[in-house]
Amino acid sequence: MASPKSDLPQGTLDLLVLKVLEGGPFHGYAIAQRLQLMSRNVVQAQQGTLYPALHRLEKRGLLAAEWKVSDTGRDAKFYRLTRKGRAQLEVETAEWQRLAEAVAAILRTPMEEA
Amino acid sequence: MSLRWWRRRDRLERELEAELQDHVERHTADLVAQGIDPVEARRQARLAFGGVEAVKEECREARPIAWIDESARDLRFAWRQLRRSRVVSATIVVSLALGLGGSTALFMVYNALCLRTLDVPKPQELVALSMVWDKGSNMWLPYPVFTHLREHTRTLTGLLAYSPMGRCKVEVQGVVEPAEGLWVSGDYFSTLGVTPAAGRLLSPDDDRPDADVLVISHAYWRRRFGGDPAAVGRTVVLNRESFVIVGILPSGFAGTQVGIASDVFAPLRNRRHAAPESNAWTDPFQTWLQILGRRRPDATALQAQAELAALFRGQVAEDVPRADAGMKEILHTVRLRVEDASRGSDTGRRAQNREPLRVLLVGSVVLLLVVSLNIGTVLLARGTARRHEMTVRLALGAGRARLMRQLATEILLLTALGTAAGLGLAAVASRLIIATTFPHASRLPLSPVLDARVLLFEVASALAAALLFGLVPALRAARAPLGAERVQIRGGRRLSLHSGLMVAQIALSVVLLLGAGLFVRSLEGLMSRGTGYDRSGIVMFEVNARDAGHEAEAIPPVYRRVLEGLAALPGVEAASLSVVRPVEESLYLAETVTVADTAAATTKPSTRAALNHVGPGFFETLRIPIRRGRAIDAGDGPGTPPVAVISETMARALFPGADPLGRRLNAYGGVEIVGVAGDIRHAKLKDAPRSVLYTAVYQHHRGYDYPQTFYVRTRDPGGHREEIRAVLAGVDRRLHPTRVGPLDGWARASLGRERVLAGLSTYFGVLALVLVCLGLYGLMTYLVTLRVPEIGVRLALGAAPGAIRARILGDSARLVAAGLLIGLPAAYVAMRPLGSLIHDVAPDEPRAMLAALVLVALSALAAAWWPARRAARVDPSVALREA
Repeated sequence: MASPKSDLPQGTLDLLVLKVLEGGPFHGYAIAQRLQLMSRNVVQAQQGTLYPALHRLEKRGLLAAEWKVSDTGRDAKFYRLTRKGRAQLEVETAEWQRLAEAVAAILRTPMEEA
Repeated sequence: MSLRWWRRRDRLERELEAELQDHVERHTADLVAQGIDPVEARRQARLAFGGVEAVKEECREARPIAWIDESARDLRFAWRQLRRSRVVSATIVVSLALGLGGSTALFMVYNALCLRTLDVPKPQELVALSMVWDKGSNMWLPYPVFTHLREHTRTLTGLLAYSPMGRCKVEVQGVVEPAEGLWVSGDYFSTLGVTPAAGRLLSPDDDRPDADVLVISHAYWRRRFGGDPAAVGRTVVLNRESFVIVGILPSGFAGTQVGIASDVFAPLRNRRHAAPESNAWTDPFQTWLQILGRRRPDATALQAQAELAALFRGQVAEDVPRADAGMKEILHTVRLRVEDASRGSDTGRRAQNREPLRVLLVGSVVLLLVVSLNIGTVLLARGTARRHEMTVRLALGAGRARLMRQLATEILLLTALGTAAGLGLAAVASRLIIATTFPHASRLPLSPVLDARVLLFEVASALAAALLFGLVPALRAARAPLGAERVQIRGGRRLSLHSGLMVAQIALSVVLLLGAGLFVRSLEGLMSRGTGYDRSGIVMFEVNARDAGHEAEAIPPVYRRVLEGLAALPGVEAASLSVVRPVEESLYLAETVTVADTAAATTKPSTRAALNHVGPGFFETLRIPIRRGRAIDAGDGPGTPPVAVISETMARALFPGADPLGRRLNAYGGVEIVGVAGDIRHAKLKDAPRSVLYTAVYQHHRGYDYPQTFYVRTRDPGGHREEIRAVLAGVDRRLHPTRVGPLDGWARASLGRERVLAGLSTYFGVLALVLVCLGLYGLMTYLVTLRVPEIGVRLALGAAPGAIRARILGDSARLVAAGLLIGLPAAYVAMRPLGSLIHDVAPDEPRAMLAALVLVALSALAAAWWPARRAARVDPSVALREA
């Protein structure tokens, strides 16, 4: 059964990409696969948004890219986190968790009918 | 844009392509691994990926590969936007072109006349010499001064001298055409540093009486010989003598005189110019040469001035004993002045035309200001209309900076189009301006060239204009809160910026219109002013008996026969001739004339008088009244006592209160006054009446050096061309008439400066007015559209349509009134300094001001009439529904 795909706002996708790359350098396809895997198919990054996001993050200096020989024998473009990227990841993760807790707190509170 | 840059850009593009393709490949491989057919797998992978080009575009936007791609994209987008509102864009480009074209055309002329340096190496080393004394100055110098300085100077590397031939006749293969000529010294070209384009140039070896060689200018070569390389070595006839062309000058060099393009250059000492025994070469007081020099690179201007002045004084000291009393006075205080000549030497053309050109340049900048403000209002209105689009785009995630950049690109694209069109217009208009300013030249004496300075001027003006009209809507767009779609119904105060721009435009157009009115009145005044002679009904032409080979005593019978032939033509009432033409100043003779027969002890009265040699019937033909005595008549010929007629002013100057008839003057070896003629404007329509001495043309051989101007009074001054030619041919087949035309036409053409001033200022004023009307119309229409709901309410509540119309007209009247209130004092202040350029009209003349005010007010209100009518016609039910 197909799970509903959620449309990610732009900033959130950036955060997830940074997180994925915490585990080491990957190329674009690998990042897409991991996102799908790690979110149990909830997040399926449309390739139309993933690659612009990667380039944007590279331009901001949060990622660095390098063309290396890949497992298929062909050259592939591998992205890795820079130091700046790591710092940004920490900041944004903390932000996200704060937000998530606040939202969850509100949702937990039973609302009385006026 | 080095090769490395291109290669990097290429590499990045290829990497992007490879990266995305790699993704699809891997996906395909995975699907194949799952058991899907390879072809189907690839299809699915491609589908899953989506549009590769779209993704690439997104990636490029996220991380720009090269700014040029960004800019190209912006340009394409801007172009699409412009095409969507074609009419508005076209109007903007056209008005920008008209504004820029005018100012650039003027600048091109100004540049050619006043700013451009000579096309020679290191023009800043060139200096021009002239004499000044306490009561005057002279830019012509004697030949002995030239040789003396040339021999002894140490601060100059070279000295050159030249004397204008003026207009000469050059015959090539039987066809005679006029050309501008220059007699030049041997070192002329070497001192200037000019190298030939073909053949060789004149050298000191050629500066001999018997060297009949010529050098021609590049433009003349192209014009007369069609660029034929065989022109070098050809023989041509210059003023009836054969010369050989030995070289062609490089393009861009047209002599050293400002505003005169020289075609042929011949050696100064050639006997055709002056015989070797002529005293022109030895007379230390005959001034007829212009002298230029080139400073040594290590000599400063001051050093050169000091040295040359000292050398000059040394020579003057030697010549003083030989001078007469009048000359001694001059020699007492005379000194040599050394001036910069990097822009050539001025023959008066620059000095005369500098002021009007500057005034017109200022006017054109004012017009450009009006154009910019106008475009600003248009863009403001369009910006408000596009606010919806901007809001949506911003909400969709477009960066504000990106939006600004795209708006800026649109504006720059409009500006670029307007600039290009303006350049084309300027190229044409500048030639027209020059042709009108110098009507007596056979072709353009100045060539308006599109050089770096002109280009810089145009681009700077365009950018300034773009800044002005682009900044305004940009500021507005930046300040407007997003999503504020609801516009208040009280439209008046919200559009303060818009209205302010309108008021400014109205004020400026008042200034321009007043200027136009003054210049036009001045021109009309000059044209219609009395000249002392009857201008209408006269056809003039020039002919020179020496062209036909006649000399000295043989000439008077030739001219007499021509006059007889002319008088016999049907429709001709009278005919005569003279040496100096009444509406042209290129030939102007003047001398100090003294009364010869006063008692020895008293000082002799003298005055500076213009000279003219006239034939019998001159005063009758031109209808110049004779106040006393008689006119020059047929009896005054060779052999009879020399006589003269003087003007009223001269009679008053020399013989106040006494009868001048019978008195003698010392001109031409002694003449007796036989008549007093009414004052006329002697050579220019702008001349004030002055002392004029008329002598009989048949009594003085010097008069035959010049071509004679014939006058024929007839009912049809425009015709008779063929008949005149026939009469001349009948007398002598070698005689050809030149410059045939009605006197009135020449008179009009002689007011070149004034015509340019009147014409261009009218163009400025009218264009400004048109823009103001269009702008006001647009603003009012927009206001009405905004206020439709309010109008609907009012009409529904019982207001009369006439009241609505009056209200709208009242709003526009307030704008116009504000503009006029500001414009009037501004115009008053602006016109004061123009006094010297306006004749017979005071700069603050109330009638002209009133006319300008009324014109602007009426036009503006007419422009507001239609929107007002539309407001009155609003259907209340429709309006209320839309509210």
